[in-house]
Amino acid sequence: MNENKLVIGLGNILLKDEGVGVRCIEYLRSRGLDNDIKLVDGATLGFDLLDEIKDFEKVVVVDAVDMGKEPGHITSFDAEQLLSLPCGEKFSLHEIGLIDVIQVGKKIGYNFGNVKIVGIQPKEVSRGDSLSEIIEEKMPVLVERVLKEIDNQKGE
Amino acid sequence: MSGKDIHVDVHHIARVEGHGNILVDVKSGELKEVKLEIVESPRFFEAMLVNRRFSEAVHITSRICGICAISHTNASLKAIEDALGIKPTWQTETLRRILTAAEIIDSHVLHYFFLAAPDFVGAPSVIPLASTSPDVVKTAIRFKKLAHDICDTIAGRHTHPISMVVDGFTNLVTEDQMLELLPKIKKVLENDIPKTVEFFSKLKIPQLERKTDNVCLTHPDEYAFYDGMIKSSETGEYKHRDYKLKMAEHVVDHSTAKHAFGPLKPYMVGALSRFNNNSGQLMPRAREVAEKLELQAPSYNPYQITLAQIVESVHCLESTIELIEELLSRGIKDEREDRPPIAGWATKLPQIKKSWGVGVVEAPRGLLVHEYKFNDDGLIESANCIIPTAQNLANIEADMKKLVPEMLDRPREEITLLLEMLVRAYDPCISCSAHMLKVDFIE
Repeated sequence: MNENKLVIGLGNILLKDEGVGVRCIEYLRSRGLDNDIKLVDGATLGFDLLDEIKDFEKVVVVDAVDMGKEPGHITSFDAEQLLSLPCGEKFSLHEIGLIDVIQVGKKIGYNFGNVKIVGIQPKEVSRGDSLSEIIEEKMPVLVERVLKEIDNQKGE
Repeated sequence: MSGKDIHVDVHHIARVEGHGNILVDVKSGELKEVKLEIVESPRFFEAMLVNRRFSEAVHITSRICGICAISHTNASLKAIEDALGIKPTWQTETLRRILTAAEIIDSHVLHYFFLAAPDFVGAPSVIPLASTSPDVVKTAIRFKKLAHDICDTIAGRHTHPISMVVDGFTNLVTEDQMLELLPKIKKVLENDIPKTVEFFSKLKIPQLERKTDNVCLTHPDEYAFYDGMIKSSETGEYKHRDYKLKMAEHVVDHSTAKHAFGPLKPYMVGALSRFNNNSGQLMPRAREVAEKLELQAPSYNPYQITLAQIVESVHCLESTIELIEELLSRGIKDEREDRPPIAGWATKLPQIKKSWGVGVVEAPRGLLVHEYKFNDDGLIESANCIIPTAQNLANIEADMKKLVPEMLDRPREEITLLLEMLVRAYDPCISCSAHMLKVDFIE
């Protein structure tokens, strides 16, 4: 594989801010910010993420994460860190949470040392196919963080 | 143990598509109440379609479900084509059939390995199962990878297809790409199916017998998923546009989902209904697997839905091989020049006049209907989507009413587990969250 950088955006775009990961991919693509990065609209992918992730040196997963912070708050985690975060019983709103995927993946020999998660606190997760205003405004900051993470992140 | 009071109250934790609760109330050994409470919002997607052009409808509806994106896309395209009076070519429909088979495999595998199997081996979820039986989980992931390779190759993206449009595909798969898929499918069929069958043939399936009305598509030439008449084992066959004759909607106060009843009683949709109505059309290996799993039509044990899903996965692998070989022998052609300009890939989109159309397909969990009415401006005036889970709710409640009195002498943990397993057997859209249940007993 030629590419060594992968950015996956997760979420359901029919549920407003829940789709922020996918919107981030669209933003990167429409502005041509994907020179040497493979962009994947991961939608609500579950265990299929395992296959997406494994061939790349560096991976960033962008997702809406309920951290109990103010809307638009952006944080990055290592995949390993994610497992110890106090996120309650259900980390993500997707059908199979990212945390489930990582837990299962680890047990069957997948390594997540190359994976960073960039999470943003959603404001509204309800019917609607556009982001809330505050999350829309934060998009350039989110994108900047994603690009920083994919450039800084060490390969395995 | 008669004279016992039992109150089971199972709260399912929130998930995007909905919450589900099981409520059982037994007073002095007599069943007072059984409810499957579902709070979900199918209407919400229907409202989102109003005032959209047909070309937008497909992309919106494909996002309704992260698992059944192909089924929603096919139902949506068929409804639009029905309104436009278009019959797609054999090639287009064959490619759609292959995509459907891939989605059936993908969804069934997720259910029987990741959601149902933990129950049978006493694991609380797939996470400990990955430690105790890593090979099982690895097999499941190989299946899913194959299904995604097929969807990626034909539809351009595995979760939400981008190249599927009215009357065709925006990008046509090549013969070389299809040829590359064949050995991958054969490998899974030869290597992974025997292991899967062996694993599941050893599991003890709970017993429950309740005769019900099996409803699914049926087709004279194939085990139907993509097309056919709506068949009820009790009341006969219906054309797609007459779906309401069978699937009358009924709103019950404890559920915001539409419970779907037949004219007289609840009915079942999904893998076991298809198996019961159409098993004579299964491919040879699938029949062998049914025998090994001791699954015989008609089966009125809903816990066997999981086994029917395994049989269907094998059938889908076999039928995909057959369809790809036939496509290759006929040759894959760019048919656009010969088709009316109304097609979705045409640069100038047509104006739909006032019209309506219905699209019916088999999604992994059962019959799925999309109906759209278009106004004079060619915009969607109203939409109706009937999802499989909504149709099964009344049937699950009827099963619970039969099951609970049969097991009152068992410990309440066992009663709860068997009720949860029953709900999960139907593979409802809420099942993904069902392994993170909070269970409250109030006695």
